[in-house]
Amino acid sequence: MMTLEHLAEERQPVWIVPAPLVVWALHFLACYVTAALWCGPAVGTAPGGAALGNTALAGLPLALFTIYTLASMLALLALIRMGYRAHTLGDASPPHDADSPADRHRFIGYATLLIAGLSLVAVIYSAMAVFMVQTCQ
Amino acid sequence: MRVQGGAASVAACVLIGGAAGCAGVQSALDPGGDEAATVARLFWTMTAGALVIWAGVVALGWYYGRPHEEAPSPRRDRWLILGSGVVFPVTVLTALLAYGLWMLPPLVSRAPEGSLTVEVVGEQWWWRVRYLDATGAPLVELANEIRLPVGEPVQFRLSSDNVIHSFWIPSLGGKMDMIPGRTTYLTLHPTRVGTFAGACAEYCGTAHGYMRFMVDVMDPAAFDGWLAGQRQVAVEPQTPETQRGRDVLRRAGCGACHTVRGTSADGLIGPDLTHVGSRMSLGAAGLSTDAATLERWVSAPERLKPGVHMPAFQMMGSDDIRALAAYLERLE
Ligand code: HEC
Ligand SMILES: [Cu+2]
Repeated sequence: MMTLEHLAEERQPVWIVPAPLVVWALHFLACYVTAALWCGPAVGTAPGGAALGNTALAGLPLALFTIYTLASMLALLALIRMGYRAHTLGDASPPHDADSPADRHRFIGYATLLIAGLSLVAVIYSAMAVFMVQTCQ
Repeated sequence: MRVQGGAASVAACVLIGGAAGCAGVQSALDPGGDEAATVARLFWTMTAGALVIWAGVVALGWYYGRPHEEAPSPRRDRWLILGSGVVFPVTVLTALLAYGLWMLPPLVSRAPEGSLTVEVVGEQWWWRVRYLDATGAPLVELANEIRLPVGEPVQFRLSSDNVIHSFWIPSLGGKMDMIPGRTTYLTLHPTRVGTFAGACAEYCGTAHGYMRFMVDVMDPAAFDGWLAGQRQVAVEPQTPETQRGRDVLRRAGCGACHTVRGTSADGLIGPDLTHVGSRMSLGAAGLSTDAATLERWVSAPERLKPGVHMPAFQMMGSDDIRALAAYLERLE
């Protein structure tokens, strides 16, 4: 039978802690690169004053932003769930600082939960920027 | 109504921050245009919100700093930390972000078709200003001065062919970068007649601090008259001295860099001088355009504007310089 004390770190690998930050970074990078590629050619002015290239962030890039954002939010919600489960293992409350495998397990979960919450807010903020502005200007 | 609101916010500014920087030709808190009014409103909203939050934090600190009789309640403390440490800041920041983002698209959207279009090119260290016709062809070129009809939208087209500059008229709206190789756009709606000051808001080299300009928002009829005047070629000099000045200008080679429309001077490197005598300021630096300043400018521009990209003409005889200055002053 699996007891709490058997939960060694390998059951809850430590890389899960920075994983939410990686999701946030990837979301930001994907939005940034998409906007840069889409808006990049909008340099210069045609004779007569109209801008060359794309000036509005609409259509394809918006669809891509939607996909990036939904995928990132799903990943972060999954990380929040994993973190929450590890954090609430057994019957203990923070700060989970006992020198035991079980408390390490809870601590890693708790840290993941908090960082994933922060990353979720950050992803929503980046998404607000692209969805509310929708222009290359 | 608008004026009252403006007066009220200036009064509030004076109360909070002391008199400096609240009113005046270059104050974002004394708006003369729709875009600046939006920015000022955001500023006041944030200031009021910050004061409320500050008072709340001080009150909490005071409350918890007192000795307490009752037993501690970890449950209540946990909620207080979660509420004021996480939920409250996230809510406030989300609201502020949404408010700020919501302001942006109108600021960068284009003015309606057929609006007055002004092209401004960032030079080192002055502003080339071109009024364009409906097809985008230049009607007239001047420098360091922009006049606008009140109550009408104006479309700015901004560019640079050297380094990044930033075009900013605080009393009329937000700033917009001028980026080499790109055209950026800024739309403004001046709402009140008056003279405002603008500045370059992106460090661009030695004389960046002198890279300023004047904006005059005028009655539409007065504006039309002014624009028609700017389109005229330079007046013919009438007095012997100004005639001599014109000849000096031709001989000294000023025409390699400057244009005086109606004469053989057709250089494009420096500002158009056709109506330099009627400019509100000289050299983008807030200098006056009287003959004495013009004399000093021509003989040693570097003294008036360190870093300037115009050669000094000290070797010119003082009579020539005086004649030249008299001629330039008459170019109205
Ligand atoms: C090598 C090019 C060059 C030559 C030659 C030159 N200038 Fe200039 N001049 C400039 C530049 C560049 C500026 C803009 C400087 C600035 O404001 O930073 C300028 C500015 C000015 C201004 C101020 C214009 C304004 O709108 O503020 C005046 C007046 C002027 N020059 C007069 C002259 C006269 C008169 C001569 C001939 C004696 C002359 N310049 C020769 C390059 C030149
Ligand atoms: Cu500049």
